[in-house]
Amino acid sequence: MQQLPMFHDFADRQNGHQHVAPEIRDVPGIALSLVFLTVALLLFLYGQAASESAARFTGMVSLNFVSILLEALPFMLIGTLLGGLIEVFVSAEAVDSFFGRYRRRAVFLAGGLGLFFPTCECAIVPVVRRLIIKGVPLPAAVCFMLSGPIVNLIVAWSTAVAYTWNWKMVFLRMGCGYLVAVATGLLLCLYGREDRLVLPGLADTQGQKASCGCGCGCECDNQVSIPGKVQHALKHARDDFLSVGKYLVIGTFITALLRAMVPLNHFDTLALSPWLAILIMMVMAIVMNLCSEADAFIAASFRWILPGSAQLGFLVLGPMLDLKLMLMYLSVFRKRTILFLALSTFILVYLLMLLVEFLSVFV
Amino acid sequence: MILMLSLCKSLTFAVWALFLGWLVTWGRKDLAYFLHPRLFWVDAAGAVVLVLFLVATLKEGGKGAKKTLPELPAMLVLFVPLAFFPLARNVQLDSSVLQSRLQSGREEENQVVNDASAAQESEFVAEAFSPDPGAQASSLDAFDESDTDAEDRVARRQEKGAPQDDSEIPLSDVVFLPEEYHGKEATVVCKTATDSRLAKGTLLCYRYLITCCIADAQPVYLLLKQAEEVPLVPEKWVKIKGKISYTTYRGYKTPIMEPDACQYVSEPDFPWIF
Repeated sequence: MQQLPMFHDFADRQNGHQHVAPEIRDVPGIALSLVFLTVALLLFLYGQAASESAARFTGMVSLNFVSILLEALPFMLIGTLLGGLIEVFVSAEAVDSFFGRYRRRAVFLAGGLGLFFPTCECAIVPVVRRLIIKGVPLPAAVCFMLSGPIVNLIVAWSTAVAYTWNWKMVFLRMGCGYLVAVATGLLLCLYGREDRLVLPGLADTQGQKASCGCGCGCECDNQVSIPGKVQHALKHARDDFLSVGKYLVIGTFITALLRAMVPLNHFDTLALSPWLAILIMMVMAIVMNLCSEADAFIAASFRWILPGSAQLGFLVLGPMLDLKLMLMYLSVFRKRTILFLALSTFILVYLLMLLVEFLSVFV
Repeated sequence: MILMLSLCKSLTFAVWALFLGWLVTWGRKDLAYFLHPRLFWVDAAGAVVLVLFLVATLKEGGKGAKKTLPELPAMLVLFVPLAFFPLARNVQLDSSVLQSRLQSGREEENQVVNDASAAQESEFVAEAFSPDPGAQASSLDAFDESDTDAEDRVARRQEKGAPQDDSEIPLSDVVFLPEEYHGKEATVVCKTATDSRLAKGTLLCYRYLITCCIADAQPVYLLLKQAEEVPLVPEKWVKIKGKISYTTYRGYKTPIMEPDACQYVSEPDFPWIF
């Protein structure tokens, strides 16, 4: 039975060995930021051009961009604050006792946590980032990251409303979300070297007492007073926001651009057969996903055009893997890990949807 | 350098906190243009968190900050949405966007409606509302020159005395529960639009329904069967009263209204429905 990494670190801490977290480098983020700033400036200037079509296109991109961000950015701020509070007020020992020694059991547990801690996909990345630093087993953390935005009561309610209280769709969405998240987590259990899956700086701070990603070198436990701890939590949260926030903005911009370029009604003409319909809706989920609540209404608008399995594929994959999420993952995982997560969730969701389609036809 | 970075961070948080704070207070009308009102609290909470970040940054000063000039592009990225806000605010979701957000599968559904309506004989009698004079003035102001004939007819009918004004019901109620209004009179406010796929004498009357934000806005509509003597003009906000029926295609019910009375109105403060 594989032990959690923190057990070894716990022994080190008992011996008084102090760790100082190295700085987390973000070279891809810097390059991406510069490219994005250039593209945004060009689009802004294009919108000032005399032609009506240029102004209309830029207007639609702006509308989608700003509206999605006005919803998503505050949720992400709340998520970073939660992450900061977890960092300071939740001890590694508490995390260890909750999840237990066993990685596989922790995965099954993490898949259902969203029922008690509903979190949207924008907020969950900074929370999971802090949980990983705190020493939560990576497979469990990833499982919570994938299932949290789907397996929760708020999303269940919005799905029920969108599908006019068709509870079959609600339970299918939550059940499939849970299965895919757990399966992905179990796949990660097979890979023992968790430190190679996350960013180098995060790997070095996993489960350590002095887990300050800000590089201040302090120990959180030295902050005895509550105000001191709150100040420390805010510093962590602020740094997380600056690390992750740019990916949210860039991902949202790309989504807004694609939504303006490709009208929604182009997709329904491409669905010639169930397997193709599922595939197309899943691609649409990656490209055009907004949030797990609004997804339900967008998928429901295809109710009479596409099979239920295709709609379900959109509903399950979108909150796990869309453009802005994949960019936000860059603040936590290495690129190969993101590629693995993308491929594994895509394939798992696709296979599950084919099974759902098969069962709906023959059962 | 560290102090400059610290100042840049503080500026980022301060600007965003002020922006979100303005949106949830004096700018609520602007915020409602983008976001469902039930999510206003999210922006308020975001503003509070940003103020906390600002305070934490100011208290920290330059102490313990990372010497990372590359943080600057990340902070500049966060200002980009603010630059696009004025552009976004001036966008109108009109019928050109409607076409791209409607499913093309509706084409067949509308054909069913066309066939059904062609088989019916309808006598259309337009009667005016009896609004208060102030409202009447604003609706007349919305007319273009080409609407003069319609405006005159509506005004002449108003002089004869109009039936009582019924309370407006949300368009979404009629669209999602047409069977509840079947055979009954209803009054709705919506915007007219034409579509080449519709039969002659039929218009769409639509509004955008938003779930979370305007990016997910989906048009909801009913079909209007208009009479030739009172042509309804497309791209106008109307308050219409008429009897509701519906047609069913592939299990989906589309409401149809035969207007008894129509008034051109100005765009509602909150043009979306929730």
